[in-house]
Amino acid sequence: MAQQQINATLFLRMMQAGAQNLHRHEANVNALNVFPVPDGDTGTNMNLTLSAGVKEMEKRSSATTVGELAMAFSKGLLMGARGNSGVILSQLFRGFAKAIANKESIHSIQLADAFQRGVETAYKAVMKPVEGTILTVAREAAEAGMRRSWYSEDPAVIMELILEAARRSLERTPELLPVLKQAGVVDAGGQGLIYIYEGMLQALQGKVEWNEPVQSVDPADVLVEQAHQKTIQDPSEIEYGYCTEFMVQLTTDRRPTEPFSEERFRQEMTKFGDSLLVVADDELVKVHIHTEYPGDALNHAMKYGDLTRIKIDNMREQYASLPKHHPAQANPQPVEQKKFGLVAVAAGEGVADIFRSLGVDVVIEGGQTMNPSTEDLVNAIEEIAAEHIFILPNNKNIILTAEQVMEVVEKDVTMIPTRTIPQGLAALLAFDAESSIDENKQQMLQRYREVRSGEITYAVRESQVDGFHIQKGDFLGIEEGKIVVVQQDLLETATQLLRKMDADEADIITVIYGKDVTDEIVEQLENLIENDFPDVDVEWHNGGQPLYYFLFSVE
Amino acid sequence: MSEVKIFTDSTADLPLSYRQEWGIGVVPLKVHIDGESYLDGVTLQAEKFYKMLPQASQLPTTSQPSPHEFCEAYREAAENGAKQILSIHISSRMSGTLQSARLAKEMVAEEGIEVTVFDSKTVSLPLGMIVLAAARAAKQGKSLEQCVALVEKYRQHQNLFFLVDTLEYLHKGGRIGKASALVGSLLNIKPVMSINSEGEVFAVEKVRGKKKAFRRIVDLMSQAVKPGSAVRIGLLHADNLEELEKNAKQLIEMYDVKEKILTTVGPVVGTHAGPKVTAYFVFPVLEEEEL
Repeated sequence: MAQQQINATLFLRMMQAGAQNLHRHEANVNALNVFPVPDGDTGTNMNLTLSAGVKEMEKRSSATTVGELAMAFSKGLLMGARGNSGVILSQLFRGFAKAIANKESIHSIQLADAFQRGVETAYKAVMKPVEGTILTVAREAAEAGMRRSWYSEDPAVIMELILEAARRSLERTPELLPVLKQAGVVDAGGQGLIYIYEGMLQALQGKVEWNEPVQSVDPADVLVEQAHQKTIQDPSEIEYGYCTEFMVQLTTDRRPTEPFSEERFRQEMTKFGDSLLVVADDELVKVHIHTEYPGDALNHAMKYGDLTRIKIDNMREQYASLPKHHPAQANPQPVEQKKFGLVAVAAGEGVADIFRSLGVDVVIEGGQTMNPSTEDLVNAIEEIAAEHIFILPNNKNIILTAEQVMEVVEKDVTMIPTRTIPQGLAALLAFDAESSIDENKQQMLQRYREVRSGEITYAVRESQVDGFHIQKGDFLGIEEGKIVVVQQDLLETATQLLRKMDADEADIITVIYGKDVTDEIVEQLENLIENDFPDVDVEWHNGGQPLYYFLFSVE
Repeated sequence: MSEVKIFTDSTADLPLSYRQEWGIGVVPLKVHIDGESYLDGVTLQAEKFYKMLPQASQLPTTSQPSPHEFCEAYREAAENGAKQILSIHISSRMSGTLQSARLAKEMVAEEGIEVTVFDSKTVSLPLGMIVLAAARAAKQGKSLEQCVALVEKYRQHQNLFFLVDTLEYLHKGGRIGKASALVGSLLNIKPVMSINSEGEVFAVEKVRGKKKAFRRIVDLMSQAVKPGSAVRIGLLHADNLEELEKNAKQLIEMYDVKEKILTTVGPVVGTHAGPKVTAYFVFPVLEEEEL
């Protein structure tokens, strides 16, 4: 007998199974990337985004309603979104989650409706939706679900219809997006979505094979963690001085014990202190309490069973020894708020140093290796004591994430959509701490466009892009995100790229060399540039960035 | 001898020939290098200074003339027949020279010598050219009031842009104001520098590379002074004549140049601006001026 309703437990399983199936096929999704450069992989970004959502749900695994889980899922997706594909995926499932936020459980029509709502949310979030991508696959799948939601009361049947429609849609993506056709692949994001749907269906059909036991975070641990975050206060105001944690073994048989009721026990314990948490199953009770007399609390609990894993900390002592709560700073000086703060995303310690030397407060490591999540950006912003923040993503795959940040943080944030490191540096030169927000925004937007950016990396797979037949391991010269040179020789790629960028007419070329470039190669390129572009100022920096041998800025 | 005698200080970087021709009095500041003190432009000339600069164990320092030195100069002028003195100086935001001149003015007032002290709110050749305009007016028999009015007007028509090789000197001398944010940047930034109406140095724009920076100066200059108009041009360099001449050609071609003064940045200004500076100064010819 098929399940007619998806309850909280099943919903969690569905999403866990979806995440697991995507994770299992992450490499396949990555391999579909048309652009054969070694970064911003779709499968990795989607996987990390979805697992962030699922993890947040697992923290609420004791939830009894689908709605409660959905809200947690939505929050996790929002904070965990990485890369453009991750952001779109997060929007699809956030819309989905919102549609079921008030539901205790959902039936098949509600399931179909939730997919539809997800699609609407995602289309709204993307400024210029491109057809032939994950958006199309999600939309056509949801439409099929809506059309046929009357077909069966079994959610598994509806999910199957949706999955099949998604598969057919995926096959059509090369017809809609010429770059896919040229490269002879289907859309990577769409493929990722199908792996998720497959997992969800398997869970509905009860056919999931778990790779490893489903890891769920002990909800009690989460609650304890939350309680501690709340209780940071002045030591003189601590009323209950001992943080006391223990477990009661209800199954004790060496002595008679009193019958246990979780509700009653919780009531009884409140008289010993505050920050009380009680989580019980048939055998074990986990207790956390802040009390002035830990002995009394323990003695009381002994009535129900033997104690185990006892941990008692003196919080007044702890408080005094914490560096940030040192008495000298008991009355912390309010940190002076700057007018402006700057956040940039960059890979490589040398590149980060350049950004910092130009006044950037926080450089988030990433971009060309790992795309940072919304949460990474949010944390950086919150670290800076400034009224207004400018973000420089410096990578096209981080722009959507940065846009999403503006919805999450309370601070006023402006994103300058820089797509390369040279663009980010050029934008910074236009920044003036004395100017207004608008003037800065306008100046930075104008200046970053005046610089030409080039990058040199290698192909991680065979591909066909823009008329180039690219073999794995070829060197790629990329100008403004477009492959313009494909060569087997690194130095030849570099000089050809510079010529394509009209470096001979430039005033200044800035070369940032990566960590995989030897001094010898740098020296050879220096000679070549000197020879080819004798009238141009050239500046050299050791950026230490991975994967990209050279970054060129031509101005 | 004209009725009004014009004084300035050595930071005006006015070539000797102009000072002699128009009878301009110059009170020198001092520059101290490795324990030795020199009178700016008197006992130490620019050429020698830029040779000494790289060898100096510490950055040189400078000091303003004492009130006493101003008194001496004013008294000597009075003895030679000057009825009124107009003393025009380096921006009070950059140096205490003006303060010394003001104290001296009070001191000599008791002796019946009348001195008007004027804050040019600028330095170097822009100051020099204001001073020159005043001296010319004075020689034509213009009154003190007329001279002051002219100087006031000229002060508002300064169009100076300059390029430094490094911001380090401006920064160490504390003469950089808000441009200090650029110090320590790992990128080789060539800010286009200028002096604002308050008489402070500031970075107009941060640019990469000298070529681009000069191109920006040409843009900014043509926005400030219409190409084709009649101008005086002031050109300055600190041991960097080649670059100055190469760049200046473009500016000279852009205007109807009535007068051009090309000179070196003197030791005191050079101490704070550093070597390799080039500066470009365009001064529109004012209608009421008699050339």
